[in-house]
Amino acid sequence: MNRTACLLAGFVLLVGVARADAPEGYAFQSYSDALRSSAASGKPVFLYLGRHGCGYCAKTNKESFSNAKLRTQLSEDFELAYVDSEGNARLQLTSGEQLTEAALAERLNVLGTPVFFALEPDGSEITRLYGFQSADTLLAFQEYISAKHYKSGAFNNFVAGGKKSNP
Amino acid sequence: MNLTRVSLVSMLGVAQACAAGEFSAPIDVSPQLGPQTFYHLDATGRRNIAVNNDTVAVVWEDNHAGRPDAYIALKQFDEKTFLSPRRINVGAEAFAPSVAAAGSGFLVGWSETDSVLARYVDAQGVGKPVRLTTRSADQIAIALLDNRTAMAVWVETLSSGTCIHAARLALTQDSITAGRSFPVTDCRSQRFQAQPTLVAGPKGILVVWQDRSSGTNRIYGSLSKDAQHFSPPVQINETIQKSASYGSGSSAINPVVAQSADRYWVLWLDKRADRAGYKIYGAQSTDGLAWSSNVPVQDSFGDETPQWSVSVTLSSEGEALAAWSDAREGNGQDVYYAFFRDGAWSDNNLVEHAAASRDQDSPALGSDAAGRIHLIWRHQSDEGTSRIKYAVGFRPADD
Repeated sequence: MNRTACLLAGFVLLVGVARADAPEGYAFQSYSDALRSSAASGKPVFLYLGRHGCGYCAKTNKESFSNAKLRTQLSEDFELAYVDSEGNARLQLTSGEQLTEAALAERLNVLGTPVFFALEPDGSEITRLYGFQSADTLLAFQEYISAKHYKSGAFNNFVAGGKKSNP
Repeated sequence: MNLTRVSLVSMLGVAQACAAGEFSAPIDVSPQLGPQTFYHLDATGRRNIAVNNDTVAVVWEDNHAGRPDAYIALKQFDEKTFLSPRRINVGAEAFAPSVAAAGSGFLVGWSETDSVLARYVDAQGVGKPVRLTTRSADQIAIALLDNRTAMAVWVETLSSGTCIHAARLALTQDSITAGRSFPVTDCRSQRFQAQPTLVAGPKGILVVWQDRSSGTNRIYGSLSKDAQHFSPPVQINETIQKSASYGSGSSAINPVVAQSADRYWVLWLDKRADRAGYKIYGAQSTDGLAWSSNVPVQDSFGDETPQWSVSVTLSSEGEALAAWSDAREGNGQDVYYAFFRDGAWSDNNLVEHAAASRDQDSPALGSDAAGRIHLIWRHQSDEGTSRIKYAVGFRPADD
C-alpha cells in the first residue's frame, strides 16, 4: 500500500467508526447550566445522557440529530443539556448536592445509553426515552413535552394515538 | 429422609448460611443530619476506608457545614463508636477524599481548590497539608510502600486531556514531604486518563486506571519496581465491539485493585451487557503484567440489574472479597458481596444490615491481619436522610 492509500485508509478508519459526544449544531450546556437556564426561561430541559464510544449514541447523532427541523424545534423549546454518563466533571443538582456526571447516571439508574430525558425546571423527571431514536420520534417527543401531553398520558400512547391526546 | 434427618440438614444449612454471611450489627460513622446533608463515598479506587493495626479510618465528603468538606473518623477495634469526625480540608470546597494506612496513623488525600492535597492523621491530631501539584488536579489515591514511604497518584488536567501523575510521599512523624511528580505513562497516546488507584507489594507497585483515548473507556495497568519507572500500559478488560459502523465497543470504568501474596486483583464496572447496565468483571495477574481472561463477579440473580460501586479487599487467607450495591430485590440498592475461592467467584451474598427499602449504596471494603473484613456504606433512610454505616465481618467459612 502506498503512502496515499495508507493516509486514505487512516482517514476512512477515523470517520468510519463514529464516536459519541454531544451532537454538533446544538447548544448543549452542562447539566447545571441548563437547569439554571431552565429556571430562568421556564422551558423544560432536554437531557441527553450519552457515553463516549456508545454505538447507538453515534447512530442517533448521525441519523437523527442531523435533522434540521429537529435541531430547530429542540433548540427553541428546550434548554439542552448533555451529560457523559462516565464523566468525572462535577455538577450541581437543584437540591444543592454536588456530584459527578457518572454519579448522576447512577442516581438516574441508567441501564444503557443513550437516554433522552425531559426534565422540569426543578430537575424532576417528566419522562425518558432509552436507546436509538429516529428524528420523527424525537420530534414527537418534543411535541409531547412542549404541549404538555404528558399530563394526560404516556408517550407511547401519545404516539400510538396519532399524537391526538389533549393536555 | 425422616424428620430428624431433614431437621439436621436444615440446621446445618442455616449454620453454613450464617457463617458465610455474617457482618456485625452496623454502627454509625457519621451523624444523621437533615435531608439536605449529602454524604458521598466516592474516592477513586473506592479508598474510603483503611485499617492500620487496631484502628479503622473512614473518609467521606459531606455538605453539613454549608459546603462540600472532607472528613475523617477513626475507631479503635475495641471501641464501640467512632471518634467525632474531623475536617481534613483546609478552607475551600473539598471532594473525593481517600485514605491509606501509614506509620501509626493514616495518610489522607483529597481534592481542593482545583488541586490535590495530602496530610497525615492519627488519633492525636493532623499534620500539615501538602499540595502535591501546582496544576489542575483531582482524583487522588495513596498506597503505602513501606512504613514511612507512600506513593500518591492523581489526575492532572492538561491542555489536551487528563493524565495520571504520581509522587512519592515521605512521612516523618506527622509531616509529609512530597517528591517530584511524574506521569505514570505516556500522556500523548492516552489523553483521557481517569480514576487511578494503586497497590504496592512484593512484585512492585501496580497502578490501574481508565482511559478513553481509543474511543471508549478501557482499564489499563502499569507496574513499577522502583517507584520511578513504570512498564508500558497493558489493557486488562476485554472490549466487546458490537458494531462495525458505530461506537467503539463496550466500556469499562472505575477500577479497584488489591494484592495478595502471589497475585494482583483488578475489578471494574463493565458495560458489555446491552440492557442491564454495568456488570462487575475482574482479572488477576501473578506478575502485574500478564492478565487472566475477564471473569464476571455477580451471579445470575444479578443479571437483570446494574451493579455499582465495586470494592475489593483480601482476606487473611489471600482470597479476594468484592462488595458492591445493586437493586436486584427491586426496592433500591442493597449491598452484596462475593469471594473468590477454589478458582471461582462465590454466589452473591446479601449483607443483611445493608438491605432496606431505600438505597444502601457506595460500599467500600478494608481488611486486617486478623482476618476481619471492614465494610462501610451509605445508608439512606425512609425519611430521606443519609449517613455512613460501618460493620465488621469475618472471612466467610468454608462451604
